[in-house]
Amino acid sequence: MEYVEPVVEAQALTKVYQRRQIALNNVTMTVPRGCVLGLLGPNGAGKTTFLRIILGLQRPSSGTIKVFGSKMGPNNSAARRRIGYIPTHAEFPHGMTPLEYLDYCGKLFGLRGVVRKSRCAQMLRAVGLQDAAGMSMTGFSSGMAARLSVAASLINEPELLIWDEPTHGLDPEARRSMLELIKQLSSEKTLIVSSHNLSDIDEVCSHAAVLSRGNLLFHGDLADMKGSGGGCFSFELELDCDVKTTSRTAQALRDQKICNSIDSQQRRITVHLPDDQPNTLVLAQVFQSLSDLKVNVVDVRGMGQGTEAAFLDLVEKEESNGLVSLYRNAA
Amino acid sequence: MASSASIATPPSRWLPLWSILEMDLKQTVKGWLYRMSLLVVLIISVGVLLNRAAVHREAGVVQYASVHVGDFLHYTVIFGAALSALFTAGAIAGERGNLIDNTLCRGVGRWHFFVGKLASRSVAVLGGFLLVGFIFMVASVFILKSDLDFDHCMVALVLVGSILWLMISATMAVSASVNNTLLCLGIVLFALYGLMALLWLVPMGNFTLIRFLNTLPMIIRSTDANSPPGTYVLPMLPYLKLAGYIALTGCGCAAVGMWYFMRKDV
Repeated sequence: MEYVEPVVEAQALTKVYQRRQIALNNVTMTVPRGCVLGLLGPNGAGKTTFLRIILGLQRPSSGTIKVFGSKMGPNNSAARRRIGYIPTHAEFPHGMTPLEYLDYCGKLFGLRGVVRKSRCAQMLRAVGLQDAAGMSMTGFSSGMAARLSVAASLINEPELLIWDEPTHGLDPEARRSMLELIKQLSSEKTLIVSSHNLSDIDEVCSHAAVLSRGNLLFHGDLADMKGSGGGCFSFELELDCDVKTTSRTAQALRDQKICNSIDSQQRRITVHLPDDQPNTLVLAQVFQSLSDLKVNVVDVRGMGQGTEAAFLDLVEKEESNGLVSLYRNAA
Repeated sequence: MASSASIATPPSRWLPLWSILEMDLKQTVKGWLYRMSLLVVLIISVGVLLNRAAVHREAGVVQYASVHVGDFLHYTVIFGAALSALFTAGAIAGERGNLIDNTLCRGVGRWHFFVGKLASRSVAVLGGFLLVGFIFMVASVFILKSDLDFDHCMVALVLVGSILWLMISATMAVSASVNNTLLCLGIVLFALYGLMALLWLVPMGNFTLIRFLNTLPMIIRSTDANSPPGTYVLPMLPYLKLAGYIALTGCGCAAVGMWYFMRKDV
């Protein structure tokens, strides 16, 4: 089988700020080509530090980082030309228009005039800022700024996208289109997405890495993480009936004791599945009961509770288990 | 198979450098601080020239252009150096945070960024100084009693320009090393005026800053029939050499700053 080199290889990465704060502690992980990695962790976990080290904006205190097979550092501009980055709070130079800004970004990547102009137009159209191309960016809303950041991160047609909290501060519509964009891009690019929003990660990511206080708690397939956490799955079902029938249906399901618990709200019920049985089996039973009750389902949505439970479980374990995990790792 | 060999070669090596230079130059020249400073220097220069012209023409007291151009260069060294530091201090230190990330994550090398910024600030400051200096010299020739020599004036401009370049490059080196514009400015101004005070207080053979600055009118003077009696034309080569050494020291400062910046977290 042909060996496919990982896009990012971090080996025993440690970052200490001014001999005071440990931002990353012995982090070893790889990001395979074509995956969408969700970087999870509470505030101050070291997510942004890790992303900045991948970009070569910061150097690790110890350990090595390789991006596209070459050692990443402040002067590896060749590898950076293959990366598209969006920081959490994008800041733009003063007095520029979106078109000028994208042209500037294109120049920074060394794109020649003809290619650059066509890409700028293409990107502005793709993110829906064509009409605002000549406007000053000073009065831009956070949604418009986010769309411009997306355009800037794609102008060089990168192979690796690093987006630091891309849905931060966006309204629901903008958030939805951002997630759809990530799904589209995931077919051809490798993405590393950092987010606090676990349902976003659940929706778009294939892999996950969990950081807490600089320690890497988990790295691997998102499904494996849910399994490792032992958390239960939850689904929200929107029913095609009135509120009264919804409560009656919920009560009927509760009586059958198929699920751990069932909540109902308006015309939606949320089923929390037990973790000791295959969830497909339990869901089949739920749907059978709904069919028996002659209730139609309009929409089914995974609640991401599995990810959330797994994430919280990992963080809690780490907090209560510092010394134990240290000795386990040493062994 | 993907490998390091497949890393895309840059379509243009110098375009990132040029774009940083162009962008920074635009922002500096559009900035209120730069425009205001240039305007104030121009107003003061015009005011001084008109005053001297009045004394020369109305009161009949002969005013030699070399003396006033020398004074202009003298004050350019003293205050222009501080202004150069003011214009340069924020170049890198002022952009720490998301703004610098936004540029450095785009596939530019640290040296592109440093050299682009240095070149832009040098063009802005030295361009402004040379423009005002040249206007002042030409105006002095026509308004006051001309005793200027064109070649010698150019040597004086180069000499003062090299001092300003030293200030710009030293400030840029400090700006690349610290995280705060005010801290950078504080360090540079403290060093600048501390050095000036030291040069003034400590006798260093024949060389002191004041003595050097006092020779400026002599550098730019010609030896035609209209020159004041006892005029001695200084040889220009030592001054050109001095300018060269100062410029080289500036290059050294810039190299040290860039070396540090290329190894530093941003």
